Amino acid sequence: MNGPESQPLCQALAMAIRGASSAGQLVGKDALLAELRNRGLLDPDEPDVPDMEALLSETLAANADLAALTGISGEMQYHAPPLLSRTYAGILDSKSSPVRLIAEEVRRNSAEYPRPLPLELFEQSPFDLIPEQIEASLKTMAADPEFDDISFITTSTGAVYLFSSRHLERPYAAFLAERADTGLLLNP
Amino acid sequence: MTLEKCNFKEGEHEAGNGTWNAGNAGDDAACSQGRRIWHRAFAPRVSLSFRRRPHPVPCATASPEDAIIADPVTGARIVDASACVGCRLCLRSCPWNMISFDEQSQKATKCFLCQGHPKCVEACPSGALRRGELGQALGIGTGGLLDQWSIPEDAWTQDPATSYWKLGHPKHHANEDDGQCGVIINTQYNRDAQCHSHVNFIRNGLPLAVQKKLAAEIWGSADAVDGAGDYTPMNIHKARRARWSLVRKELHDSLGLCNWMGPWVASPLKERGYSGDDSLESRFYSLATGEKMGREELDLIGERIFVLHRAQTIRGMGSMEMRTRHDLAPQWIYQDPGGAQPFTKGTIRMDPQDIERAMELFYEVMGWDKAIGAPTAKAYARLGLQSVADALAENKLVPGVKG
Repeated sequence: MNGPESQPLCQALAMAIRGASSAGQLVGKDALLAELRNRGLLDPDEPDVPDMEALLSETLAANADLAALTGISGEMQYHAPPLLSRTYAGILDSKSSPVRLIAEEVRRNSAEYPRPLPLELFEQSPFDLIPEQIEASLKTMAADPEFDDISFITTSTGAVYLFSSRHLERPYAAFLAERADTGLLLNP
Repeated sequence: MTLEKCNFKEGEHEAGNGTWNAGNAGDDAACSQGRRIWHRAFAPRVSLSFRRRPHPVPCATASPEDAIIADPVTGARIVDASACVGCRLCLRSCPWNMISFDEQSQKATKCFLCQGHPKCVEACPSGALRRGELGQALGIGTGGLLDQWSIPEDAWTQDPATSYWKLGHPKHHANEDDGQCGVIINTQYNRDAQCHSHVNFIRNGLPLAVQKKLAAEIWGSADAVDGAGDYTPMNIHKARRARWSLVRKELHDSLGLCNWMGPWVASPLKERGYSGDDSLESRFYSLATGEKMGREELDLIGERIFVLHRAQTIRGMGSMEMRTRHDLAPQWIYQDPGGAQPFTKGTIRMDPQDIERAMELFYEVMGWDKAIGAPTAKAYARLGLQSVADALAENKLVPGVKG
């Protein structure tokens, strides 16, 4: 299905992706298929389903405000960057794997800013991990060589900061953590 | 202690300090005293001249029966109950709200300093009430305290924990935030520098690579900015950034713009390449006044304000040797508690020779005399400050110009 025949479906898919982004959510192929059925654009009793990947490719080609990323599950996830950025989408996608989420954020921040991240950050939005998840993730990382670059520092106030030794030397990470934890507060 | 026992020594009025009482939280007296503390700490200086008049006791002046008299022992102004007619004029006239009214006796009443042994002073655990010491400290500032408490300036300049910078004033976003730029900026004022232009860029939340891209666009090189605590040797681009920071700070202060937020040269938007708008100040100015003003033109005005400030300092000090007598930095910037060397990651320690070079490059971009750090006649003229240069020249305060 393509051309004029697929146009209503593509328009519905675009609206559904934008709606999900407005609500702060990523959306995948299966959810979008269900959305088409809910809108009555597909016969629920029709055994043959349209080629969703082709439809979504066509939708993205026709709507410059939409984008896709390959999720950690291997499935494509869709979003509208003006409403939900690529960075935010990546965080949402990784929430199903707190270990990977924490590790990737720590590595990215150590490499790019550079800065270590306070552990408590992961309890806040958009991460929204509960302390038990964070604790379990740290234990997993400690036992898995894949994450042996993820290390931590305790500041003078007792706050724990995570950093990646691939991108930050420990003494410099300690300096930055102490600065973030006390220096910036004392020097607003 | 209640307001009924509150007094304020005349001599302390003149010194701009005084005693106050710690009222019980929640009662009216405490509220009144809170206002009084506020008034005393932050009252406009105009009231000081009022206090220094030949008869600096408004309550005594106001009393129709001369019921406010000086205690011959303590010197405190007290209410002569036998003379008071309860008219309350003294309550209204007191600029410090020190007098209250006793409804039972229908007479004015005030603190009489417990006949020379104030109970509030004895009770105060922090010593803050001791003859108004705290009030005086607030008034004279850090520099005055150095003298008053007999603490040598050296004791402050050795330890970063004091946040001390120079000439009795604290640091404000110096090398701990922004290496040589922070140092230069902190040397330039006769007070806490209160400049945020530079640190607002450093802390704009963008990755370092993006900050460097913006720095290259604005100040000519990515080397104009370093990561915090990862400082590199001084260069001309950092001097340009220091100059820009100071000029914009003066503009913000003069235009009523917020130097805690601006300048706005960075953006969170990827589609803008994370670039902000370096001309927002002039656009705001044009919008508000209807007078078209470009960025460079407005920056020139900011620079004029800054240099006028410099000229005033030179005139006040009676010296143009700013580099050695005014543009100073404390010793703690050249130290590291762990012994780390300058230009190693994780230290804010500066190198003395590099700071010397930083000052020279800064004077160079300002068009000032590099040897002494004073604006030249040419620099004054460029900014339309020829008359200022002429006045300073009469006192031999312009480099290369004989008075």
